[in-house]
Amino acid sequence: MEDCKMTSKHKTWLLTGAVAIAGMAAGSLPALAAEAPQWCKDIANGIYCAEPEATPPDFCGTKEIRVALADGFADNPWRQMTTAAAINEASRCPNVTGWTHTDGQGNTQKAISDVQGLAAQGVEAIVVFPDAGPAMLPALRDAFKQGSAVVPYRVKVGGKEGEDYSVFVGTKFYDHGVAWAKWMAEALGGKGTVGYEGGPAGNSESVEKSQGMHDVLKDYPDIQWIGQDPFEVTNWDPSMMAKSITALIAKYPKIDGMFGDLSIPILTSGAFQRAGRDLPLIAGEDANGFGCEWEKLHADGKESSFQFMTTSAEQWNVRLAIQWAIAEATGGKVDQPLIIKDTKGGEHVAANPGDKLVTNFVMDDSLKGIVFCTPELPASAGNGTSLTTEQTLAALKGGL
Amino acid sequence: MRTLRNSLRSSGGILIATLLLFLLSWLVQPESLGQGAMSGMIPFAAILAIVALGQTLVIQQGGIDLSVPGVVSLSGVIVAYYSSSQPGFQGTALGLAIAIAFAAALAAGVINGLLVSKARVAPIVATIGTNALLYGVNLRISGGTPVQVPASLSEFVDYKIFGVTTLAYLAVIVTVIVSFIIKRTVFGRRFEAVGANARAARAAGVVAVNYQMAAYVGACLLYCLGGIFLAGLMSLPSAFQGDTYLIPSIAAVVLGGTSLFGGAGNLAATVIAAVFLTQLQQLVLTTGASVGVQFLFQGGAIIVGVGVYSLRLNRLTGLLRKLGAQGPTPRIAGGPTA
Repeated sequence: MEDCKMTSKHKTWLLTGAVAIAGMAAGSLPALAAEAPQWCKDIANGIYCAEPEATPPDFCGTKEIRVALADGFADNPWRQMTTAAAINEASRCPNVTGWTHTDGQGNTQKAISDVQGLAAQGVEAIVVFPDAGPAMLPALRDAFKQGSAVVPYRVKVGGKEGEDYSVFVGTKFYDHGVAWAKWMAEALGGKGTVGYEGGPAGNSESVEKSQGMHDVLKDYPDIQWIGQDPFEVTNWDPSMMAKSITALIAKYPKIDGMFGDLSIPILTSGAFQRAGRDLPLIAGEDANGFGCEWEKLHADGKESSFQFMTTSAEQWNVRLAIQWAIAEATGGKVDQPLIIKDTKGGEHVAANPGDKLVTNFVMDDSLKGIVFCTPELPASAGNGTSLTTEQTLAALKGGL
Repeated sequence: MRTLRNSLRSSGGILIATLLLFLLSWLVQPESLGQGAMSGMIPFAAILAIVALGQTLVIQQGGIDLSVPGVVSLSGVIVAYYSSSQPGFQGTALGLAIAIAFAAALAAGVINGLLVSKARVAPIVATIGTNALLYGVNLRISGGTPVQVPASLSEFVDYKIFGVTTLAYLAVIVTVIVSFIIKRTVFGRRFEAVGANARAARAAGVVAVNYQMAAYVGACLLYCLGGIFLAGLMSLPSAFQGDTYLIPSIAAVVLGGTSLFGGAGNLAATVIAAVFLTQLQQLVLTTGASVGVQFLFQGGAIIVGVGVYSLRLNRLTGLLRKLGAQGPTPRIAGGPTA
């Protein structure tokens, strides 16, 4: 019969074993208050890394994966802020071990080979901004069939979810148009002339927004649509916008309101000012410069006809795409609402749990006194992306 | 003054065409000639005129310059990014930023000139390459993000003297200076001689390479000037602001009557053609025509303009005489044969 009392040798073994078990348990827990993931710290000294959370969000899952963002084109402020937001979102998951960002440089062939390259490397979660539209579908399909989670976002590619790619994450441009037109109709008191400065001929974003506007404005017979229908073609280029506005000024004695995708040039290109005309009301997408111009025009009690309203430019759309891509790759769940913080500390619900389409929200409304102007940020920065001012500034300096 | 008068005389065709265009504008869309429309149109015409002057110099040398977008865009980006007004970006005084822009343009012109005149690369190839290089530098600086130029530059560009923007006066001054250099100096005579026939000029003892270089360098400096003005005009210029200036600059040169094969160039006519093209675009826009129609009109104007200059005028007048004459054309003793 053995003595069952614990000897000191047994105690030592027990203690060692307990320490070992505790050590292993601690080691396998995600780094808590500690560190951002190394891949994130390698990008611009880790400025975009999210604050580590006590429990990683459900969309992360647990499987270790790499994430990639494949852009058809990356050289404009919207894309730069979007990339920063994507890095920020992906860094919330400690199980993400690698990050790649590819830039198709506006070349469809390159964009396709970028996606093919990522699939060949076995990157498990690929988010794609398919600028080339349906031309990207075969590459997406191949990557999906090779086992990657593929999430195209914002530009439709055709095809079917679950067969050609995992999930399509989008936005409802129609709703932007509706929001703009509703504000404009009210601000104008139901009467006046309005025009819309859109993008390249036939682009779906401007077409859908225009539909939204028309559906609202048809209830306001005293509001006259001037200029081209569905929109003035400007390729989002400030000098073409200036020329288009000059033509409208020539034809119409008064322009009361303007809509614009890229709206700041309506103000800054000087077409109204050079013609000696009052500034119109403007509804468009948010940009820091807008609020700052408004503040300048209204500073020190100055009189100005200029009032404006903006909806979010959605440089955070990619966050939902990243969440879906990671969830699809790891078996995680997109079961939290997507909440976007603006630079005034406000919070906006941009997507409900499980949504694949984001919901837009209003940013500025100068008639209600809500104006965003962050003096440290350049004109094309966004104030509602959940990025901090430092992160936004770093993103716009490039190098992502 | 004689130079200007001579130039205007030989610009007869495009001058008449432009006057007709303004007459047409007055008849069809009088608002396009109103104060509001003119104040919007004239600055763009002035900038196109300056850029097209540069293109004229290159085309006079039998070349063509496809680096226009690169220089115009980069100049604007340098001035915007290197001047201190932009929050979050460290900068320097506007004057220094402008000097840097001109230095970059000078470098681009030298590269173009060396490639074409020394390395004997075809101008179309050399300047495409330089254009790509310039956009590479541009994107390195800007990443594609537009940044606002200092208010002082925008205010200068928008300042009006006797109701007309400073840009219009500056375009005229630049035209007079460049015309004087090309038409009234020894340098200019040799420049045109090289452009007309480089071999003959060399045989006459002119170092052709220097003049070819001068064309590309002078051109890039003019594009830079145009680009800085454009950036001031836009106030928040896109990083690709120069893209819309390539084809119009060539069109203005061709419509102005300068042969694409090189030789004597008509600088005043180029400037008039720049006004013509800008007003044509503004007129079509004001009619509310769709984008497709706009392109049709602009393309049509260029084809007609080039066609008129390409027809051998001897043949044309001979044909008209044959159609109108009652009998055989009387031979003038010692005169040229029809």
